[in-house]
Amino acid sequence: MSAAAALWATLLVVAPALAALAIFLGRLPPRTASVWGAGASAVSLAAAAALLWQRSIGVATVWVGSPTLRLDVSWRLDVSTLALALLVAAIGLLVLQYAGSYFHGDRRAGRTIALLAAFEAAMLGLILADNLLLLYVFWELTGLCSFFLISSDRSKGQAGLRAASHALLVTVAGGLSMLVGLLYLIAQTDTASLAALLGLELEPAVATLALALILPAVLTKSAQVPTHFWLPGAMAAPTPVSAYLHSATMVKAGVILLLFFYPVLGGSPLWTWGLLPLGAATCVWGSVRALAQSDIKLLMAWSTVSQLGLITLTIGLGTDIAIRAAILHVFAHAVFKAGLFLTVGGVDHAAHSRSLHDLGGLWRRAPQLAVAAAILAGSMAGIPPLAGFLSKELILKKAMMAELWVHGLAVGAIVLGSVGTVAYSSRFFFEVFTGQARSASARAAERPSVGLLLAPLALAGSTLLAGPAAPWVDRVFLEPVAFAMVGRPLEVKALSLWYGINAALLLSVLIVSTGYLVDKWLGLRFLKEQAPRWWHGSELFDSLMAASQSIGELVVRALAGGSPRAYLAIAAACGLLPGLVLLPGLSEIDWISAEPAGATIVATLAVLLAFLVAAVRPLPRVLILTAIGFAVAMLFRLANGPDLMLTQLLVEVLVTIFFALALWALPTGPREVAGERERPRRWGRVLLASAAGVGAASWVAALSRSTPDTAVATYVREVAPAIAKGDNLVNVVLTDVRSVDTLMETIVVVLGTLGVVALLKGRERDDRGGAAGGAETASPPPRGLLPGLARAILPIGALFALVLLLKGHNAPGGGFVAGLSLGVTAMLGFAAFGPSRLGRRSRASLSGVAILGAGLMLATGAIGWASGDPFLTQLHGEVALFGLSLPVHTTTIFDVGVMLAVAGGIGAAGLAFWTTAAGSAARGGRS
Amino acid sequence: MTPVFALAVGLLTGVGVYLLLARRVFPAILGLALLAHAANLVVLAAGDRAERAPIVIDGVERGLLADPVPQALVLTAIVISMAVTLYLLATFAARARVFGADDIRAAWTSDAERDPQSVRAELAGGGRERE
Repeated sequence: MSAAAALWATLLVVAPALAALAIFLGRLPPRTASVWGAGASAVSLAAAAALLWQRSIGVATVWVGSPTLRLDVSWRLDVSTLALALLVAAIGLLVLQYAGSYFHGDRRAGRTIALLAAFEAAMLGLILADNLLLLYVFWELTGLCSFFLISSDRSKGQAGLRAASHALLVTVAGGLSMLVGLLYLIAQTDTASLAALLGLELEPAVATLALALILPAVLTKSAQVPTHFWLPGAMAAPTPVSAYLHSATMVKAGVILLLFFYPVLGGSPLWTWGLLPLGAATCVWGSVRALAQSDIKLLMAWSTVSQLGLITLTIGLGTDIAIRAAILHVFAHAVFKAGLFLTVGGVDHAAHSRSLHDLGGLWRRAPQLAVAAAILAGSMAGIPPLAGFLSKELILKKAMMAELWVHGLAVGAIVLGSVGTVAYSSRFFFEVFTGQARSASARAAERPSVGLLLAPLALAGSTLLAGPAAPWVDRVFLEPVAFAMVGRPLEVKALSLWYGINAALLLSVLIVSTGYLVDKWLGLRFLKEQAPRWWHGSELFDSLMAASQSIGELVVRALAGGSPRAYLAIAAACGLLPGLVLLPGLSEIDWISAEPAGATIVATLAVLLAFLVAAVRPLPRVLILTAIGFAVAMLFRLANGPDLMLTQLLVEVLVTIFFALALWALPTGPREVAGERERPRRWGRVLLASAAGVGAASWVAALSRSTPDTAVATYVREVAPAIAKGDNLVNVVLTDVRSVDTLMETIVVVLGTLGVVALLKGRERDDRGGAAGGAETASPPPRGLLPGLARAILPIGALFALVLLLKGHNAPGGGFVAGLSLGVTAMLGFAAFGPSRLGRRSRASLSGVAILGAGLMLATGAIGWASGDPFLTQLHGEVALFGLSLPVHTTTIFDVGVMLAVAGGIGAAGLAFWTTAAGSAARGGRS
Repeated sequence: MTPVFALAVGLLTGVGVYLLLARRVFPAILGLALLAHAANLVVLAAGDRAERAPIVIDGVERGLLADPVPQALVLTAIVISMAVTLYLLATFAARARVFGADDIRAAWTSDAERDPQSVRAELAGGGRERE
C-alpha cells in the first residue's frame, strides 16, 4: 500500500470535515456554504475515483497510536468500500448543492450545511475505516451528527428535539452493544483490523455471539421493527437532511455494516433467523404505514423503513447471490430515495404544502420536477427499465431460490411490501403531479429554481440509464463490488433487463398491476395519519424513558435522600457491619499477652472517649480530642513508629489551636455551640455506633490472623536503603520509593489549606464592610510576656525544624515533621504579634511558599526525568567542596519542598483563621 | 499488639459514628477526626509485626524492623486528615457567618430538607442582616 494511497484516502474522509469546519468558523451563509460543501464532496469523489482507477487495494495505515491497545488510523481500500464512498460523496455533492438553493435566505442554515458536510465525513470514515475501534468512533459520529441535524429546524421546537433524541438514544443503545461485540471479536481474533478479520474463519459459537452483539446496532441504525419509529420521526429535519439521511447515509450504515461482516459472520444460523423475520416485518409494515400518510415527506420516510426492511430481508437470505442483489438495491435505493426526497423539497418550496389533501396538477407548473418524480417513483415501484426494477427483480429471483420456509416468508413479505410500494409510489406521483390542484397555494405554485431541479434530474437520469446499461453496470460495478464484499467469485448470470419469461417476471407484473389497482381503489379516502396509540413506537419509547427516569429517581431518593443519618447508616452497613461476620475470630486472640503499656493506653482512650461524649461545651471537647490524639500518638510509639508519633503530636497541637480559633471566629463565640442534649431516638444512635465499633474491631482482629505479604516490606528493608542512601526507612519510602504518592498527598494538603484561605477571605471582606473600622485596626496588639518570649522561641523553633529536616533521612524527622513544627512556630508568632502586624501581603506570600514547595517537589521530579529516568527518580551523588566530599541527594530538595508546602499551607490557613477570629472578637466586643 | 489496636479502633469508630449521628455540625467534625484516627490505626495494623522502629542501625537484623510502608502511608494520612479538619473548620466558621449562630444551634438539616425559598433568601442577604 503506497503512501500516496493513504494520503488520498485520508483526504477523501477529511475533506468534507474541513469544509464543515470552514463553514462553521466562517459563519458562511447558505449559498457560500453550499459551494464549500459541494466542493469538498467533489474532492472526496475525485479521491475515491482516483483510488479506484489506480486499483489501490489493501489496508493503508496512516497513524499508529498504540500497537498494544490496537489504536491506529487505517483505511480499508477495496472496490466495495471505494464504490460505497463514491456513492456517499456523489449524493453528498448533489444534496449539498441542493441545500444552497433550498436554504437560500436563511442566515442560520449555514450551520446545518456544515453539519451535513461533517456527517458526510463521518459516513465516509465509517465506510473506509479498517480499525474496528475507529469504525465504532465513526459509527457514533454519524449518530451524533444526525442528532444535531434532525433537531436543526428550530421552527419544529420541542418536537424536533424529541425526534432527534429518539434517533440518538435508540441508535446509541444499539451502538453500545456493537462496541461490546467488536471488543469481543478483537479479543477472540487478536486483531483489530477489519480486513484481517474478514480473512479468518471464526468458530460458529464465536460468530454467533459476535453477531448477536452487533445485530442490535445494525437493526436500530437501519430502523428495523420494532425500533423503526425513530426514522419517520427524523423527518422533522429539513428536507435536504432527510434526503441524505434516508438514502446513502445513516440508515444505510446498518446494512452496509452487515454487508461488510457477511463473509465472516454470514455462516451463523442467527444470520437468517435474526435478519429475515425482522426484515420481512419491517418491509410489510413500512409499506402499510406509508400508504396511510397524507404528508408526502412522511410517506417517503415510511417508504424508507419498508425499503430497508427489504434490503435486510435480502441480506438475511444469507447466500452470496442474495448479497449481490442487496448491494444492487442499496445503490438503487440510495439514488431514487435521495432524488424523491429532493423532489418533495422542490414541491414544498413551490406549493408551500406537503399534504396530499392540498396538492395536485403540479406538472403544469413544474414539468421538470414531474419528469424526475415519474422516473424516481417508477424506479421505487420497480417499473422496467429503471434501476429499481433491476434490483427488485434480482431480489425476487434470489428469494424464490431459497429454502422452503425462507422462501415462503421472504417471497410473501416481498410481494406484500412491493404491492404497497407500487401503490404509494403511484399515489405520490399521480396525486401530486396530475389532476387538479386541491388548494389555492397549489394552484399558485411557483416554478422551482434551477438549483432545486438539478439534483433530482441528475439522480433521475442515472436511474433511467442504469436499466438499458445493465450488462455494463454488472461488469464494471456490481460484479467487482460483490466479489470484494463476499470475498469469492460468484457464479451468476450477467445482470440484464430481460431474462425471458419466468416466475419472477410474472410476479413483478402481478405486483405492479395489483399495486396500481390498490391505490386507485383505496384512493385518498383511507388516509389515516396516526397508527393506534398503543402501537406508536415513539410513544412507547417515551413511556419507557419516563419509567426508567422514575426508577432512577426512586433509587436516588432511597440512597441520597438528603438525610445525613441515612448516608451514615448505609456507609456503616456497607463498610463496617460485614466485620461482624469476623466476630468469632475475637475469641482466638491472645488477650492476656497484650502489653501492659498498650492496655493502659487503651484504657485511657476509653475514658477520654467517654468524657468526649459526656462533655457538652465545645472547648472542653476540643481539649479532650487533643488528649485522644496524644493517646493515639502513644499507640504509634507502641507500634514502633517514631515518625508517626512525632507527626501526630505536632498535628494535635495544630488542630487544637485551629479548633480554638474556629470557635472564637463564630459570631457569638464558643459559648453558643450547643451540645446535643435533646436527642430523639438516642438508642438507635447507640445501636448503630456500637455495631460500627464492634464491626471495625473485628476487622482489625481478623488482620492479626492473616499473614501479611512481606515482599514490599522486605524490598524496602533490604534494598531501598542502599539505593536511596538513607537509614530512616519511612523517610526513604516517602521521598524515594513512593515519592509520586508523596507529591500527590502534599498537593492535597496545599489545596486543603489554600481552600481554607479562600473560604475565610470572603468572610473577612464582609466583616470589614459590616463592622466599623474593621478587624485589623480594632484588635490591639497583644501585650505582656508573650511577644518577648516569642522573640526568643521563634528562632529556636525554626532551627529545630531545620534539624528535623536534615536529620530526617537517617533518623526520625523529615519534611512533614519539619513543616509541621514550622507551622506550630508560625502559630506562636501570630499569637505573639497579632495578625494585624502581618496583614494581607504576608498571607499571599505564605500561600506562595506553599505553592513554591509543591513546585520544588515537581522540579525534583524533573531532574530525574531530564537524565532519562522515569519522573521523580531521585538521584544521589557527591560533591567535592573544599577538599571534602559531601553527599548530595535530590531527596533533600524534595523534602525541603514538602516542608515548605506543609509549613506555608498551615501558615496561610492559620493567618486566615486568626484574622477572622480577631475580627469576630472585635465586633462582638470580646477580646 | 493486635488486641490493643482492635480495641482502640473499635472504640474510636464507635464514638466517631455516634458523634456523626448527632446531626450537629460541630460534633460531626469531632466524629470525623476520631474516624481518621481509627483509619490510621487500621492501616498500621495491616503491616508486618514490628520489633523495632524502621531505622537501619548496624548490627540489627533488618527483618526485625517494622514495615515502613504502612507507616509512610499513615504519616501522610495524618497530615492530610489535618488539612481536611482545617477545611471543615473553615466551612463551619464561614457557614456560621452566613446563616448565623442559629444554624449552629439548630439540628443539621441538609439543604435538601430545607425550604428552598429560605435557603435562597439566606444566601442572598440573610448574613448581612444579622450583622
